[in-house]
Formats: sequence, structure tokens, C-alpha cells
Amino acid sequence: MKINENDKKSSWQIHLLGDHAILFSLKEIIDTAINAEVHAFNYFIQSKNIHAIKDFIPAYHSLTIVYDIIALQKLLQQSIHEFAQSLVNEFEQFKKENNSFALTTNHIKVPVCYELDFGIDLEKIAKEKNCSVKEIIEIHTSKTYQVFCVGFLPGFAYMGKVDEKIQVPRHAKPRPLVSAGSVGIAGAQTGIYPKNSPGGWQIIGRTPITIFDPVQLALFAPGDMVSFYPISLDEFNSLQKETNHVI
Amino acid sequence: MSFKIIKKGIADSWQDAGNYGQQHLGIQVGGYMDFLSAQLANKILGNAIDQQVFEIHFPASTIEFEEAIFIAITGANFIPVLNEKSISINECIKINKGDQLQFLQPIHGRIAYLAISKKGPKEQVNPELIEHIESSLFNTSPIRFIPGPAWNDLTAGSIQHIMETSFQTTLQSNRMGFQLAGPHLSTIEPKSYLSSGVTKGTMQLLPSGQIIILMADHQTIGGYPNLGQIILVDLPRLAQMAHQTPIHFRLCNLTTAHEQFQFIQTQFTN
Repeated sequence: MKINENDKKSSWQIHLLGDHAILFSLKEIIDTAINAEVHAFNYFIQSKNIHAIKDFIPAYHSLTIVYDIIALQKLLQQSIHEFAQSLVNEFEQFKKENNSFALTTNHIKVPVCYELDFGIDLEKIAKEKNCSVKEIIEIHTSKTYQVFCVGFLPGFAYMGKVDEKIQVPRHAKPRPLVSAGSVGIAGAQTGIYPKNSPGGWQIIGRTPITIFDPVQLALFAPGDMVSFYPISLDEFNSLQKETNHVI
Repeated sequence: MSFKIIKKGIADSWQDAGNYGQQHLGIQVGGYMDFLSAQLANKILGNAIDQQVFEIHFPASTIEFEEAIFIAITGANFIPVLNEKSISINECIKINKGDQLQFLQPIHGRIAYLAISKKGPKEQVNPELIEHIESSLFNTSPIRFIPGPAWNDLTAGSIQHIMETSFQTTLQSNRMGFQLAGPHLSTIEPKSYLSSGVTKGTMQLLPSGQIIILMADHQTIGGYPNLGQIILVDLPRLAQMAHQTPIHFRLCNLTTAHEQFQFIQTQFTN
């Protein structure tokens, strides 16, 4: 992922979130460049090893940091707001000095079986979009997606952006049960259900690999790049045998 | 553990100060709902204040101890009885192997804590600390909050409602969040918000026009309007509110919130 000073879309806004968190936000849109800036800022603050910061929560256009009140107070000579502003200033300065710096991110390739038994919304989407199921699969597998953020469920990665040709809204009424490994799309986003759960995204396939387990934690981290490749039902079954799928 | 559960309560669990550092993977922090009572239980026994404690909701578990230890029960009063004899809360109690602990009925509060220790305390805890915690948990003064990013998106009428009207806790209250009942609130324009990080105590405006306050097991990111966050020292009081307790809100500034938090933590570490 490359961050260029020229790509700058908007400037950081600071909002103190109650008495133990700080929200930094950019322009409120789902955009890969803005989101890449969030991950770069996250990476920058993390590299400073400030132990008083307990959590970093990157999202689409924002980064929230959670701090230990007493540890941060001990550390600071200035107010929390001044501290937040100094982080932004240092980051802007860092970007100026390193005109284009590359952020090392993982590229994860995910096998997906797009059989209709798994891709239970494929035919409906094909009809709505006036295209074939094969085309939907081709379009979905042709792109590399960026993990905007992880949330909703442990390990659930919100990725984008999905090609406009196959964008569909989420179901008006969520399904009470979506199977673990189900690959869904909703608007400009795609994602995989880490475990059986209720869900409103339109389901186009299923992966046999484990997305989240309590020991190895999450397969995807914010900022990762992800692509999907199609596999047959036989390949799905043999891959699933190898994996300890967490339900 | 040093006890076994004979009859399982509805929502009892072991809790500590929470698991920070993994919210970017969507993993909740968790931890005790009422840090004041949990810390107090440990303090009474001379434990490290952030040691694991057993969090008890009513109807509570019935417990049989498997070894001689010391315990302290804090927080809600569910009338604890040991071998059918009533015992005090906020005190160190010596336990023999085979003793049975039961909780009879909720008198006040929502959550009780049970701390255990093999050695027992070296010294008695300052009674003023117990008094201070008790009075800060169970009183009717307003719950204080710091306005959030969507505060200014509220209509003037909605702001007035939050500042002047009484809200109530509802049955939709659990370790994830407390949904309140009160006047219908709305933003000036119907606006959709992109999900961003939330914290313990975040007040979200639900599509129904009601407020939900996020508690220990909250999701890591949320897309409902973020109206504000309850200050940390007032969260235990909210956590202890039984069904249909009236709530008033009051604005607070960051300096006060930090001073109050530091003050209480100093009492615990002294």
C-alpha cells in the first residue's frame, strides 16, 4: 500500500471520546485512499510505542485510540487535546519527509466455492443485475480488496470496494442464520462470516478456511489486501477436512 | 478454582479488568461491569485490585467451596447466606471446606462480586473507602457524560430532553449495553454515519429514537450516532441500576472526569 502526500483528501479532525479514548477522523466516506491514510496513521502511532495507549481501532475514515488515564497523565506535560494534535502534526511532518512510504501489508488469497448451494443469493443477484452467475464470480474474483476494518463479530473484515456492476444492498430483513465461512456482499463491501450468526449480507459463496479462532485469532487485520479465487465443491470438501473450522 | 457451582445462575462469569489490545480484530474488551465493586472485593482480601473476580447477576449461582479460603462479596446486595446463615457484604469472610453460599433475593443493585484469597488480608481496609464506594454506587445524582461527535447533530429539543428529562433503565440491559426508555430523540437531518470506534459508556442513538449505553461486552465499532460517553467513574453506578431506575444526565468536562478517576484509583492503591 502506498501513501502519497499528494493523495491527501482531507485533514484530521480530533474528537476526545469521553475520558479514555480519542477519535481521529477524515472525510466521512468509504474510500480506499482515505482508509489507507487511516492505516498509515495507525502504523505511525503504534511505532511510537506509547504504553499508555491500550487499543488502536482503525475504521473506514477514522482511528480511535483507547488510553489508560493514569499512565497517560503521568506521561504528558500538555493536555490530552494537545497530545492528540501533536500526534497529527508529527504524522504530517513524517509524511513530508518520507514523500512516499510503503506500508507493509499482507496479501491474503481466499479460496471460495461459488456453488449455488453455498451462494444462495447468486441467482437473485444475477437476475437483478441482468448478468450471469459466472460473470458475478468473475467480477468478484477479479479484484484485490482492502480490509477497511474488522468488527461486528470477532474477525469479521469489512473489505472493498466491490465493482459497481455487482453492488447490491443488504437484505431488508437479515437472515436469522448465516453459515460460518459464507462470503457476502453489501453495497461497495464484501466480507466473510467468521462463525454462524444472523446476517443481512447477500451470500455468493463459502470459504472452507478458518476466519477466526480464539487461539490463532483473526485471519484478517485492518489494512490487509485480500483476493478471492474460485474452487470446486470437491476442493472445498478436501480443504475443509484439513481445517478445524470453528463454528 | 476453589469452588464448584451446584446450581448455575443466569449470567455469572469470571471477570478481570478486560482484555485490551485486540479491538482492531473485532475482539471485545469485556471485563467487569462495575470496576469499583470488583476492585473493592479484591482490596478487602489484600489481593491485587485487578485480580479475577466472580461476577454475579440475580438469580445467582449456588456455590460449594472445595477448600478453606477467604472471600469478600461486594456490589449488589442479594442477601448472601453461608450454610443458611446470613453473612455481611464488604467484609472478609473465612470459609471452610464444604461451605455453601447462596443468594436469596435482590435488595439493591444489579451485580455482586465475589473475590477469593487463600491467605486472607494482612490489614483491614479503610472503612472510609467502603463508605465512599457504597455512596458513589447507590445514589440518585445525575450520570455524567462528555458530548460525543454526533451531539451537535441532535435537534435542540432532543438536547433539552437529555439535559432535563428523566430516562429509565429497561429489560433490554445486559453486559453488552443498557437500552434506556425516554422521550423520542432525533438528529436534525436524517444522516447515516460510517462505523467508527466506540468505548465503554458510549451513548448511541438507536433508529427507534432511544439511547443505548455500551457496557463491558460492547462491539468494537458502531455506526449509530455517537451522542457522548459516560465518564468512567459513573459507569459502575449505571451498571448497578436495577430495571426501571430513573436516570438523569449531566454534562461533564474532561478535567473533572480525570480528576475523579485519579482520586478513586489513588484510594485503592494507598
